[in-house]
Amino acid sequence: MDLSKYMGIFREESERNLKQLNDSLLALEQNPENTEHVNIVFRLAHTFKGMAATMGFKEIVELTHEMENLIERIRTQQLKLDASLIDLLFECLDSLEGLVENACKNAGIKPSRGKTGEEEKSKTYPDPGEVLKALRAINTPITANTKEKIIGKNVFSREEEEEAEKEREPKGERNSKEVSLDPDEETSQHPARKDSPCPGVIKEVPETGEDSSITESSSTTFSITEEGILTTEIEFSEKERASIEEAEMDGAKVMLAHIALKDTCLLKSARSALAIRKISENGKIIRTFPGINELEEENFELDFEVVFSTKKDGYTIKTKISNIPEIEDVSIRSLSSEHAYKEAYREPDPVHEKPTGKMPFFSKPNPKIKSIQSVRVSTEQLDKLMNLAGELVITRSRINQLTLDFKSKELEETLSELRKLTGEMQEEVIEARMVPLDHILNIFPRMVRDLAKSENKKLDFIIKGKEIKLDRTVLDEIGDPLVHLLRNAVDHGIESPEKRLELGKKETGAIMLTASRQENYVIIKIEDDGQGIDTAELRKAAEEQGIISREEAEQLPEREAMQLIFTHGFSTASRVTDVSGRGVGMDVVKNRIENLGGSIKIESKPGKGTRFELKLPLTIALYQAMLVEVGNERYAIPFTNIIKNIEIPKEAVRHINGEEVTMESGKVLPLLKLRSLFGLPLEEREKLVVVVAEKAGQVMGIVVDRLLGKQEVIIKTFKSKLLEETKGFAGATIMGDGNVVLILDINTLV
Amino acid sequence: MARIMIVDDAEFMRMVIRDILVKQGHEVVAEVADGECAIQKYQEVKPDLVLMDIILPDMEGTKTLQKLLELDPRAKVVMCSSLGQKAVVMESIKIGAKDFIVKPFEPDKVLEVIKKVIGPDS
Repeated sequence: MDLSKYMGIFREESERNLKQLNDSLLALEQNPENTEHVNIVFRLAHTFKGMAATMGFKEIVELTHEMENLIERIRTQQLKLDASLIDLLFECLDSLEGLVENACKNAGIKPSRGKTGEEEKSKTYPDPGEVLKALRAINTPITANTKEKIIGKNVFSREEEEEAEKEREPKGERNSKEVSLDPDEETSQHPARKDSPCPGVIKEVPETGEDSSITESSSTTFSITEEGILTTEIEFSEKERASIEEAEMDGAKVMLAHIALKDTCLLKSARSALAIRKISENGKIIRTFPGINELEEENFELDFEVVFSTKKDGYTIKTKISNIPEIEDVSIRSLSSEHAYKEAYREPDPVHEKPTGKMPFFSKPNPKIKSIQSVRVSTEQLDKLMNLAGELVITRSRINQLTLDFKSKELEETLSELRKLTGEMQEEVIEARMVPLDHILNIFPRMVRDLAKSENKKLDFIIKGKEIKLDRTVLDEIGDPLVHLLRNAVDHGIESPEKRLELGKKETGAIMLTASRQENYVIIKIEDDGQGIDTAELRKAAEEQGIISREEAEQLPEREAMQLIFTHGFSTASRVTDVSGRGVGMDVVKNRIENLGGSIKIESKPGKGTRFELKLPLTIALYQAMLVEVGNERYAIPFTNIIKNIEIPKEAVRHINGEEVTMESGKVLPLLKLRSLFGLPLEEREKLVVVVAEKAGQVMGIVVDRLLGKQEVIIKTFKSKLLEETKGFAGATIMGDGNVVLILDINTLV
Repeated sequence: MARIMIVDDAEFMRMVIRDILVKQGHEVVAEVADGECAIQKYQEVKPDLVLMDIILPDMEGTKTLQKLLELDPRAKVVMCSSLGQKAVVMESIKIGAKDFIVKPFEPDKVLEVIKKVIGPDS
């Protein structure tokens, strides 16, 4: 079987399973008695095992198998789920994650997770071997011992028994295939069977129990030699003999089936149960060798025997049993009489030999193929589709422009139809690119939990609205910022349990992540009920770090003071811990969000808590942009960066430290002349056209030649290696007239 | 060939099983992920055979099996299990599962089981 084609779905489902496992473990940590989640964990381990077994990932199979065992013991109350076991299960989870990742890597498939950059990169997975050892230490300390004992005894008793057998039966007409049967207490309560009733097949070798019981019972063996009854020496209990007599009175025959399973047979006990059931459907079971319990416990090798009564002939029974999968051989002999024995082996009529009755499923013509509800599309393909849809929109507007002079009604109608269709198509493609937030949120509960644990903080983490969908490109980008905000909330927001009690707050803090949709935006709020941000502290730190002067610090309005945390290079002394000292500042968070065309707001009340509000566009595939002209070229500036457009007389341009600036609304506005940036000759103009744009909180004026108006553009990023490093441009777009226009990236322009 | 319904919560497993079946000319008439759906779909499509995972998200496979057999005593259900699930497999057989297969599935074994379970002698 070619398994490589299943790798993609294996990865996807594994990741989904891991996520669910994570959720359930978190729930169990809250309430270890929650049987629902115990069952979920059990099922997930089972599912995982089956999948991994199919793919041949042995390590995963071993690990999930032991997990299953562990949870089974919890389910059956042999083991109590406590914090240490939950930790171990988390270790399993991590280890599985590593194994899946490895398996994917080996198969050349990138795991779809790991969007949260540094978070994932630095992640090391626990050694599966160690985890397995730990699991086994809990699961099998006793079993391991017993196993050894059994093996020891087995060898010993087998030899001894062989000796005994030889003495008893010097002819030894059994073949080399020896089968060890394991009589349990039940069998030893019944009189043991002395001999194999089937020619040359079975020999009993006790594995447990007293060897002497065999010898003893064999000495008391008696044959049932009543007329027409048993010819072989099998000892039956009173009850069994009664059934035999009753069956014979009723006209049934007593038979013995010797059934050998294939050596590749899995779950032999279940297989034997199927065979026994098949016999009981056609007769009455009198006894089995070994006993039913032994069969159920799988205390037999490959063969077992069933004594039963039936009114059917032996051949029919044999055929029926042979029809069970994984059965190597069936032989049936009658125990009733020689005649019956022959009868059982009578050559069947040719009619019976080959059942010619048409099977019902052959008569059905042309099976219908089930219609497919959903298909998998790679993200790459989606990107391509998006691109194509974009091209189509562009081509449409080109046609529009080219045919402006034709004045044909039909053409106009067709074009308008085309516009409608391309628009719809674009919407559909955008919709197809949407992925629920859950995709990235699922790692958060665990992360928050681990973080809180390492800082000895108590908190509840609540996520709402994880079903909200966003363009996957946006989703890819917001992972890191969200991680950072959550880390901050745990690290700086929530106080220690002691302090919280002291302050008269609930001992357990709360962090809430809420997502909701607002028109074409998604709002993500991260709130905590911690200590809040003290703006006085911010002012002080900013002043100390030379970001603002003392006067500014004093005069800064409350709202703007809060914004200080988004300043590049800003940190407060008290805020540097091992968690926050990760080099990612709030300025980076803000940049990322703004680069996506979103925004971030902060609200905080000292002592009450902090709330961050992220406003994100649903998709960034489509941009609203301002088209501007510089020299002979046109450029697009994304609307998200633009605050407003102004015109200033050339006299309004001042020089500060050799830089051109102007005063705008009482503030200094640095000017950036695109002509000089692009190395074009500067023209003397009476008035300057300035696009006021914001870059990471800084405002600047971009001087262009002319504004051309608003335009919806489809961004095409530079794929070529040559252009990858190009700063200042986010990509390009194609205009209706077929010309390529570069999109300015305000954030990297200077 | 047989009209088969697959019940397994893992899409991966459904895909693997489906491929094995379809390759041999069987018809997969329904694929469902849990017991409730299995019962509903069974009545709808009346498959010749049901391949059902022993552990399902909503109700145990055994319970689903029981309900299916209550609905249709002649339902042919083959349980899909993995090693170590002996007790549940035994229970399923007692309830009335026609047969069982063990993961990892070997296509030949799966097909043998199906052939024998839907065969005239069963």
